[in-house]
Amino acid sequence: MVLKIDLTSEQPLYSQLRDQIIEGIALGSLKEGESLPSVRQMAEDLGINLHTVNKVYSILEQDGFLIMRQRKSAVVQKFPLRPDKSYLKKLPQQLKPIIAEVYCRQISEPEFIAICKEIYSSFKTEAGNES
Amino acid sequence: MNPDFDIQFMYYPYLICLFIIGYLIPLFSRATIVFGVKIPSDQLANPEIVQLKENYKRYYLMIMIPFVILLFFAIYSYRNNLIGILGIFLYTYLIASIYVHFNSKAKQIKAGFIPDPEIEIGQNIVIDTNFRKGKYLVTWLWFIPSFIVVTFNFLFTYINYNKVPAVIADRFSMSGKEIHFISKTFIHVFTLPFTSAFTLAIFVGIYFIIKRAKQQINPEFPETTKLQDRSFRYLWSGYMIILAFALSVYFLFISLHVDRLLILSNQIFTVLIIGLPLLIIISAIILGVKTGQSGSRLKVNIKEQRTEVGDINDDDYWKLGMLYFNPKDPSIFVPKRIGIGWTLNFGHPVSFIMLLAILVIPLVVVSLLK
Repeated sequence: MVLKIDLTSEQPLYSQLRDQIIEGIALGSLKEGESLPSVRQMAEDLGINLHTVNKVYSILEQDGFLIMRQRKSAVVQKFPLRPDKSYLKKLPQQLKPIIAEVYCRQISEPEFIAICKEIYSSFKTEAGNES
Repeated sequence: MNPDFDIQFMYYPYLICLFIIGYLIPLFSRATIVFGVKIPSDQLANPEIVQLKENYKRYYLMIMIPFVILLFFAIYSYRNNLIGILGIFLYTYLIASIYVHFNSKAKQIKAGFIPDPEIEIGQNIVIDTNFRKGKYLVTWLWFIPSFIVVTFNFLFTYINYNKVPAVIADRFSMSGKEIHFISKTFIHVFTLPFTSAFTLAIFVGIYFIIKRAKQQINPEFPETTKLQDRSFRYLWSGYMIILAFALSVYFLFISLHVDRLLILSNQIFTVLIIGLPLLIIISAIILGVKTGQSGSRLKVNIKEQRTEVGDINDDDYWKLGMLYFNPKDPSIFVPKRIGIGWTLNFGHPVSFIMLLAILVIPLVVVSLLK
């Protein structure tokens, strides 16, 4: 998959990378068993610190998206992931600030739900999760 | 015939090649890099930029043609080795100064650009996680024939060590005649096989640099530039394998000839000594013109619309448009901005160790031989 980072963005680099990899998995542009470049290679291609890439890979490994092989390459894990109780606990907290802003900006509930649905279905149609 | 007189002529073809390379420099660079300055693709047709490129050719010819004529004349009339070497240094210096001048001009022009509102402003870097999968390098297994030739060179010399005469030549005239002899010692006899092994190691090293060097994807045309960079690596890795083989065979013949284990005629020896290096330079120029840096001159079979994502502006890391200095970048080898090939990231400590090694190794070898 194609990864894009913006060095001037407010969002930290590691989180830009993490979000894109997860999105790639959801969209099916990263398939189960596909390998990602080694930490060093990815850091050199992007021209960013090794620790940043290392951090992304270990976060994704902890969350079950990737599995590290011999500390060298990262392999995309089986999809879909098994449901995770701690994630369900975390989810409302992560959504809260976004929905709060949506509320403040007077975007109606159906309007917000429609946007959510659209995004959700974009993953459903393209993802390789038919299996 | 005075052998020294002949040797001076060796500089002529090299100087002509240098002259051609200097003239072609802007042609080799990536499309969006003009004299080491990154220019957004919508500004490439800008009249000032087009004019600048034209001016370079004019300036270059105006300064370099008189210089070449003068140098040819100086080499011819003084017949001194030093003139040729100094000439090549001065030559490189002149080309670099012309380049630096045009680099600062390009920067001035860039400062006056009004950003395209369609393009997302930002410092974007795009990579493909599958860049190094599939066909993008000729397999390194093709180095095995060269490895066999080098090993054969060592073994054959070792087995026939007794047949090597008590003195061997270490200098030859251009007509292939021995003009200086040294005594037969283990190091003297094996100098050329070792050089051959060292050369092969360098080519294998370059091969892995080609493999590992940073992806050159322009976010404005990601698919096109990715395909170009991959084909570029394929062609140049293949070229390195061919060169490695040609040179190992070359060293095998020269080595056996010098050690008198296989005697070539003087003509063949001369043709080998002069011909192969020239053939290498000429073929490299041709391949360079065909591919351009990072494949920028290669045609790809896709039509791609320009995206709205702007390319990164990394001009500040390229000192004088040619020296890369970025301590935050973990890469050691990066693609050059001028011409074709790879250069060091001088912001990385390992780069200095490598530079030092390049300077120290020949000195150590020379002192060992003495």
